[in-house]
Amino acid sequence: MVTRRAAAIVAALAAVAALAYLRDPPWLISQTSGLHRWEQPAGMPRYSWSNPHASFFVRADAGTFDIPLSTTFDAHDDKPMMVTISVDGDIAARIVLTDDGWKRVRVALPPPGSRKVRRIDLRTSVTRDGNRGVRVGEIEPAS
Amino acid sequence: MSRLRARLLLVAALACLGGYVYAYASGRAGIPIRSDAFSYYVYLPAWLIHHDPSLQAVADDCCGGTFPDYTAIVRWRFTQRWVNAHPIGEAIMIAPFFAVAHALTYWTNLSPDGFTLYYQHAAGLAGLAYIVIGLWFVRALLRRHFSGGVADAAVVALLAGTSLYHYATFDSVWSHAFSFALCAALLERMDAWSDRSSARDASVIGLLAGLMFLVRHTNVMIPAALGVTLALRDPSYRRAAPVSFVVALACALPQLWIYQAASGRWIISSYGDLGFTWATPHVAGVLLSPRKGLFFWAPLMLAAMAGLAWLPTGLRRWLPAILTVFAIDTYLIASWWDWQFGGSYGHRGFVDLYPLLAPGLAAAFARIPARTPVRAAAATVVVLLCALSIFQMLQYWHGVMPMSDVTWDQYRSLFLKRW
Repeated sequence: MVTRRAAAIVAALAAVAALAYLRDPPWLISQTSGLHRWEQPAGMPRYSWSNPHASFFVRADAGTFDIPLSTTFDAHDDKPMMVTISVDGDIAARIVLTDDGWKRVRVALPPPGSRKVRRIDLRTSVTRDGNRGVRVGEIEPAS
Repeated sequence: MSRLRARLLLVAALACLGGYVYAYASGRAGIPIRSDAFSYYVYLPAWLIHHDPSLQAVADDCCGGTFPDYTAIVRWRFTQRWVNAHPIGEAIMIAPFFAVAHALTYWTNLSPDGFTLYYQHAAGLAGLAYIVIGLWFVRALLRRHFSGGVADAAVVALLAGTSLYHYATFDSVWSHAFSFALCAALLERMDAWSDRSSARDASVIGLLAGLMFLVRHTNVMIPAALGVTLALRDPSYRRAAPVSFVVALACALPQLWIYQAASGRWIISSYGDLGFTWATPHVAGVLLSPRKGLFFWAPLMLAAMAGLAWLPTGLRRWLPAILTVFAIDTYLIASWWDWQFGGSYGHRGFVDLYPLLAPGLAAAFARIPARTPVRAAAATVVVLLCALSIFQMLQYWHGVMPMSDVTWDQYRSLFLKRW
């Protein structure tokens, strides 16, 4: 009986410790979803393709930064693409891509809260072949 | 040894967890919700995140408005609504795990779209958990009719000597883990039926039968065959059977409603032009061939089939039902246009039936005389077959063994080849 109670207390403490750890884990900054591997064809900046919905994390003290974006436009698929960018689920910026040139969208993070990182979601209004959304370049601090 | 056996299922769970962590930490398995698993799972984000049973909101969020071809989700020709070839039962069974993942996703601030890290592994670990639950029911059933040692040996051999371990780890979000658990629970609960059983017990049987239909429609033959057997043998169940039937029907209704809402019909085949080749079944292929033969990739199942002839009195009543289900399911699997069932380790179509064959495996083990050289030799063979099965599974994981279409020459050239 005492052993069971002790085991229950240990399990409860372990659960609380796990939850405390998972509130702001250090690996979160490298967590992505809906992003393909990095590519760098000749004459292009380094980028990764997104799915129609992708997410990644940035440092909470990143302030204001630019996300380079582009997508393909060709004869069989030249629909304009609206890209919506959210910070922690709140819409922060929108851009409409109408040609295949790179565009930079500026995102200003809200003041840092209790977490070390903030979640950035990208959603595209349409997709290109292979369920692809936009090319996402490397984030750059706003100049 | 006795302490180990007392914690057999815990050990089995830890062994499965070890395999699961290896499969995903090594990058061999990709993500848990992939291929067929996507279509089984997709209802959860549709219902609980997007509140859209039509699946369109998920299609918009994940895939630009149209599901990819591999998902087996198609637009119904006459209504242009989404019809999913894979039914809702697995999603219902994953739902408790999904709820925990959803809460944790908000807690960690991951994207709450139904497909990020915690959702993926909640679904993966759900399959693993259901395999362990299924093993619990198999063990309970076998311990009722065999010695503890025989029952435990059969449980271990079932997990390690067949593709069951693979479906608890690498492909745990496929429907087979869930069907295995339901089949095991159904057989155990029906076997436990007695004069003292209540309407509540009959309801549990109905619930399990209904869920079996919801996970994989063709598996409805299992509760049907076992139910008829029990009703014929036991007058008390004959009186309670309508309760089971009504509960099972109530479970099935949401699926029928989904078909009706999407297609205007209550019963549909959502596989489109894909179907059965009834006149040319590949029976030898699905049972014996190196491509996907059940007995080729899990030779222990030959012992299980032989053991069905030596079932103890208490289990013998199930024999006609087991043989009927095995024969019909073999014909169905062998008649499917892709009788290999795509990429899989062993033939995945039979995983759902393993609980029905477990009594045969235990009976074969029990047949071997105790404390004789024959038993030592048999134990050695069983251990070697389990080791071979695990090794070949790792070959499959590492891409040494092809996912399908393995020829005899290919098998020989790859035999015991390391990755």
